[in-house]
Amino acid sequence: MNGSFWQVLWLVILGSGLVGMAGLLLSVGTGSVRELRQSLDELKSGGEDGESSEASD
Amino acid sequence: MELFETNFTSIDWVIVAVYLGGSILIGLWANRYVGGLSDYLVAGRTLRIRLALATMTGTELGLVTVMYVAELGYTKQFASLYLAVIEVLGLAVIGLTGLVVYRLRQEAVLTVPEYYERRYTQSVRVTGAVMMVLAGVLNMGVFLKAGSLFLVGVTGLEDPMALKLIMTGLLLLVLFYTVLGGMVSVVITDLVQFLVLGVGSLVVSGFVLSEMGGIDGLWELSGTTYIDPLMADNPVTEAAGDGVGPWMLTAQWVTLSIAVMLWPATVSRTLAVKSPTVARRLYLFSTIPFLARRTLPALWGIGAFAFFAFHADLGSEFQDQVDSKNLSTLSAMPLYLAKIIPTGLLGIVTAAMLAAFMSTHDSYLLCWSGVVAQDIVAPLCGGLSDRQRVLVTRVSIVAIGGFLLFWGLWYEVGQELWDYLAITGTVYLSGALPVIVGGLYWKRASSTGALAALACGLMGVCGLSQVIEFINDCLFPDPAGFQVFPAMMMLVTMITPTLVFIPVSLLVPDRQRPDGEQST
Repeated sequence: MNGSFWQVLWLVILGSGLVGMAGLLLSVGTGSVRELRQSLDELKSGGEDGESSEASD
Repeated sequence: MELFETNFTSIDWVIVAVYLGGSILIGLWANRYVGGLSDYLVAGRTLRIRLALATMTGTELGLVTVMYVAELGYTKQFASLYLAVIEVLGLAVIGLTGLVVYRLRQEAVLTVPEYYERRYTQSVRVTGAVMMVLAGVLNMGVFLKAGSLFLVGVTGLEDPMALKLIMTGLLLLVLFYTVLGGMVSVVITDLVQFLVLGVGSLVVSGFVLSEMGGIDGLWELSGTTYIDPLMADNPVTEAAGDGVGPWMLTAQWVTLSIAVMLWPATVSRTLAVKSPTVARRLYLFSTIPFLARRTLPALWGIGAFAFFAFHADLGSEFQDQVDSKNLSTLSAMPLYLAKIIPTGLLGIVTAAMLAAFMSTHDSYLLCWSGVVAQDIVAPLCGGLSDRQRVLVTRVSIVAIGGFLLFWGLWYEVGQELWDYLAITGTVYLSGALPVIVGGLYWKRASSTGALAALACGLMGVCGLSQVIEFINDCLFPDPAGFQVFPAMMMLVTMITPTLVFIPVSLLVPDRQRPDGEQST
């Protein structure tokens, strides 16, 4: 495989990592804080009652 | 400019101290949510996808990961990114198919060895647990050292005693909130750490890119460095066998593919999610943070390489220090960041990296200690109450912490950090692969086969550089003739337990009960 192939591949991978982390922070960041609150509420009210509540995900 | 020159000042220390103080408060606050054993070990299995993803990122993007990926970026430049490709492909396959993780979550167990007992026998559970803890704690043993090297590089703190005290303090802090709040505390702190770390890593990447001359500079650099991982020789160092090559590529492909599926700290997060479907989705979405953890620190390492190549006087001073073993290539990235990130921001970045350090430690400590309590002490004592199990877990966390302190401060890593981690991980992974996968998908998998496979996992320590050196000295003394090398040993030790497991299971099957079920 020639050098240009590797150059393009690695730059695409590096770019994907950067964009991916930025996207992850935006999409997961706020939602996860809300989900943490839900989890803590469930723990307070007794814990393992969520097996069947997958629909809420 | 001097090698240890840094922009880290007292302002940065204050920022770091405030962040660490916040972690203590979280530990105290989380304790109120811990009711029973399930709350303590798997947060009552209440995690939904976003929260699980955030905490998984917090755990897997640890400081040790940042350090070894950056080291690989420094020593092997762009070619080091092959690990990102392997890892992401492995996760995508699991995420799309649910391979292993779906069925494992369906079993509703708290730990992997608990599954061993359900599928095989109690002795398989205890043996598997011992192997897991042994491999995990050995693996974790170098985390502290990696953290201390980062702090030395960034802060310019050269007093070894001060450094040891800081690292001890950090470990005590992690022990404090993990002992107190268990998985609830780990999840909350991991979430905070994910946010701090995510922002911090993007900021650092921005500075590194700008310092390298943006995308154009990066492209230009890629044309003059090591980019083809299929080449066993690194064209930059011009030393034979200093690159990746087909052997190492295959060994890493096998090890990493199995690790993303079965590594206990990752699996413990799988077991903590709400359902098997969420477990599968967690893996699919994890491709993004796993890609980030393999690429961003590599970029920083590549940046360090370019920096030391451009500042030739600093580069040769650094290389002299590495050659005389005063420094290792692990220090290249922190020494570089200390010079390009401005004061104030450097404190935030350091807090982010310490967040990474703590988020990995807390999850790993809880994971191994949970296994000690659930799968070693409880079965051997004929059962323990929930309260006793939580107590044993807490005591184990402290005991493992003590070992880490001792091991981390005196053990010298004889190879690149990633190779050490892969080799110690093999001790567990090579045995766990046939036992878990065989147990889930092969009816004829037997307890004797499982015990034999787990025991064979011990061969994994043969991959350590000191052991390979010993083997070559004893069996292959001629350096010009055949010599054992790490990649070959990794492959052999990874495959052997599976090769033992299959025939032993066929030759010594489990006894059949009258109802047709196998005895366990």
